[in-house]
Amino acid sequence: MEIRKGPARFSLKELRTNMIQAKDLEVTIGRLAMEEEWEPQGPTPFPGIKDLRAWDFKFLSRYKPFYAPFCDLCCLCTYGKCDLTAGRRGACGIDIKTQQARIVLLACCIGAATHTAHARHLLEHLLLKYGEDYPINLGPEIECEMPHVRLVCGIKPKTLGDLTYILDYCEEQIVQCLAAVHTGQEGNYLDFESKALHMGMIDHVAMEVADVEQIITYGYPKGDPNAPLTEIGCGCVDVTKPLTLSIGHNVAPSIEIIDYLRKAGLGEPGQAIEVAGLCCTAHDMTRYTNQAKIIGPMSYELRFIRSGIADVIVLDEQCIRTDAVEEAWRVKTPVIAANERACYGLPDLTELPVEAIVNKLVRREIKGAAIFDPEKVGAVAVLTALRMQPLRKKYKAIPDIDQIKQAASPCTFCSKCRRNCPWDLPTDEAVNAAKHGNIEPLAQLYDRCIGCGRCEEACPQHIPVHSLIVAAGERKFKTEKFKVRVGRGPILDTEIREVGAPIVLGEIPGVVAYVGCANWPTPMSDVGRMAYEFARRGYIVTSTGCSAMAIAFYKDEEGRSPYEVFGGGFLRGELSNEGSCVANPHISDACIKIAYIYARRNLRGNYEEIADYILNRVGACGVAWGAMSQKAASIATGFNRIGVPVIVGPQGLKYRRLYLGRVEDEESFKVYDARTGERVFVGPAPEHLVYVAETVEECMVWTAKLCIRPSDTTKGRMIKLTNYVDLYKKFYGKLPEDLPMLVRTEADIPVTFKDEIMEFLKAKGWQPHPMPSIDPTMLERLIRVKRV
Amino acid sequence: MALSPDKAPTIYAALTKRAKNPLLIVGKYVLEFELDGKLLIDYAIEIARKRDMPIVATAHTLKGFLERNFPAVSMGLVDIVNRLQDPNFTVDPRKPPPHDLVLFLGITYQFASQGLSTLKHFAPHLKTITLCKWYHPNADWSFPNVKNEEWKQLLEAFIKALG
Repeated sequence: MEIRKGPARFSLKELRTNMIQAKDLEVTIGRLAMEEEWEPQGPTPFPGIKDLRAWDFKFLSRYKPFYAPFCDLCCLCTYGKCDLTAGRRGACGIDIKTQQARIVLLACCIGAATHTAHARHLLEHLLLKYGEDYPINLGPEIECEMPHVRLVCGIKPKTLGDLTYILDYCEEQIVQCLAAVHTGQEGNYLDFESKALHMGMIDHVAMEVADVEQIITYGYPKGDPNAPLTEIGCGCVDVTKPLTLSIGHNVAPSIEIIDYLRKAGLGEPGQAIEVAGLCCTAHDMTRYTNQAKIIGPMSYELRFIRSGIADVIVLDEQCIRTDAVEEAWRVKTPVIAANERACYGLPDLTELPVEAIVNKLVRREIKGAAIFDPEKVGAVAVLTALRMQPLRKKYKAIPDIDQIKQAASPCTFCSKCRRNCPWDLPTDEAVNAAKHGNIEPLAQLYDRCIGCGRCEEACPQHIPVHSLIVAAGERKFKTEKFKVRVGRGPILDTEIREVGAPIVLGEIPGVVAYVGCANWPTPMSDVGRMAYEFARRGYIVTSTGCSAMAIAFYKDEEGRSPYEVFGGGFLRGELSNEGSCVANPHISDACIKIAYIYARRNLRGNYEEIADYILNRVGACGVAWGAMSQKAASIATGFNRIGVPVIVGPQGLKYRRLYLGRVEDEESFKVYDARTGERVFVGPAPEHLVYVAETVEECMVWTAKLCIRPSDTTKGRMIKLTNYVDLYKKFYGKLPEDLPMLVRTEADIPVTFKDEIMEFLKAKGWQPHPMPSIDPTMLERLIRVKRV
Repeated sequence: MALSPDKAPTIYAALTKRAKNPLLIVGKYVLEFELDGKLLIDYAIEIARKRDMPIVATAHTLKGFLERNFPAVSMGLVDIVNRLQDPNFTVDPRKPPPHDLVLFLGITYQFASQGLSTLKHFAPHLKTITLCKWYHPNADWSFPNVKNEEWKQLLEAFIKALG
């Protein structure tokens, strides 16, 4: 029997004693322990799917859903396929707009479920190791330990065991929203959107749980702005040593690898054995010890597996290539699947002794093994790597440089590789050039290739196009090595006290978060180029996941990575890496903490008010330049619900839905002045909630623009406009046309462009705004003076 | 629909001439892609001038038009596509809305494809044409997949057929 800590509930229809008479009495025991009266309870603790619907509808009336159907059909039930093109309805009555919203909700459910399952799996492992009374302590500089949990759930968790209740709630909400996707359930696109926003919010709660539980138990940095630097890149590992490679997001088995090394007297990672990772699990390994190495983001998976450098591969969960086992088998690397959500068809050997599993792997009796015990994974991985390394030194699936011409020779220049490349890279021209002896065009693709391998699947001549690109870039592959800051985790309350006012007043021009996956339209170093530019301009720059890795691949003129140039604080002109994907809520949490610490707004069950505060006052903008996964969809949607706009790269339009404002609809951009109750037009501040940029230049201009807020003081607006106008002029060649809506008074005008802008405004017939300074809110209930 | 290369330029020209309020939307490749030394942006300007057609310069392409003294309108692709769903919207104040024909050139393929999908589903008042070298199934009319040399010929034939 499984015993879990949780609330016990009972109810009595009628109770009569000498002391008490009661009807319909309900009693809950367990959760009450957490519910001390630390703050007045707000209107929506543990909100269900209807509780924030009115707020969603309010801001969706400004940021209307824009749909770009990725598929014209619905194939979800046996009535179909139904063609929903251009106004047709399906057999169940659904139209294309509602179907898109339904698929968006499905994506957000998948994303939220993935993080919740991750958090639950890790929590159960940690509860066994550390016990349910293990305290949640993020150090003396963090009093507000889990802002999302406080805000959404209305509770203040104190122990590891308390997190169980929060995940119970997340799981219940995911089930409710997923049920709404069923045929014949929800039937309105706005209601689907509201549920998608709900899932985004739940996702941030679950991610917060996932990261806090690992920070407190594994001893990760607790908001340390000076978290150490570590190495990233294929060239950062010593290939003469045995190497374990972890792929995924759930760090538990990788921690056990490191612990096993220590227990077995093999020292720290990098001494007897290299311990490296790909994707977010690598971030989380380096938060445990910065002697672990980060190979790179998801786009490096195929190239590194094929390189044959890894002696054993441990798959945990999420963002693993589905062909990882087959690719590893080609280079004789055994695989361990360590999580029941990603078994990869491998036999479950959890119950076998360590030595027996190692023997099977080393003798290549099996391609790999599923082991659902993290500690055993640690032992098996280390022992397998030690024994495999001398046996498989010569195996790799990447041709040598002198073999490229031969491998390219069957090319007929049919261009199918290029047609199938998500980024239209000129693979056809490069392979054809290699066929004639020139490998330089292939080498030039090394930095741009996202490693999906679609080119190879498309090639009728079966040319290993991706491998040829990596072979041509061999020198870079072997030597590339950069510096990345170890994930610092949450933002300190003390940092919020320092930057809260200048952010809200606009004097720090914005908070920019580079987040998300590796489906980048341009070389991944462009993420670093953008981060560098905004840190240089005095923005607070934050990052997580694959984007935090990509930033390290940019080098300035002196050959330094942005992490070497800028401090790691949540401060003006600094650049922080919060950590893996599940560290994303630390960024939304920082926005919540500004409302809580600087503005002294209550958090407890008070979601609507805090989201309203952030949307109108906290100039933050997320950039998911390579967004790919359903997790990225739910993360972005969670940012949106709390009032933070997000820019995605061009492939982001395949998420099917954006939230776009139309500023010419002035009524939709009016807010209340909370001091008077008057409705005031505030201009495009911010203009959109999810926007797609086609180029880095467009992305940078929009990043500056989406940090503009109605609450900016004249000094703050001037600083923000200085950056917006400067970037616009640099990349677009003139002043932006929307300046008349953004300049409220002459004092808003950047000094450096004063004459030019005044002349421009005069020509446009600009008049100063009658109410440049307001206390903006979209919530009528926050108006302090009631209108008669 | 993919038009055969021998017919596409004349059909495109006929459609463009017949349109009351055509619009050309261009993307980042107009600044990056050359055909025999001639940038796509120069093709775009020639096409627009032939029919006195406005150009919406998406991404950061406005700068290229300013350098050529062509008065393009700067707007992101999703912003212009969002507005084109509205039959009361026009870029060109001289002509009454709606735009009845929209031409695409030089936009990242899959990005353009998604934008065309929006117009296919939600803008029944307009038709779409793509001038790119790859077939676009979401457009009403598209070139088939062609090599650069043939693409150049198609664009030149289209410009010539516009008169």
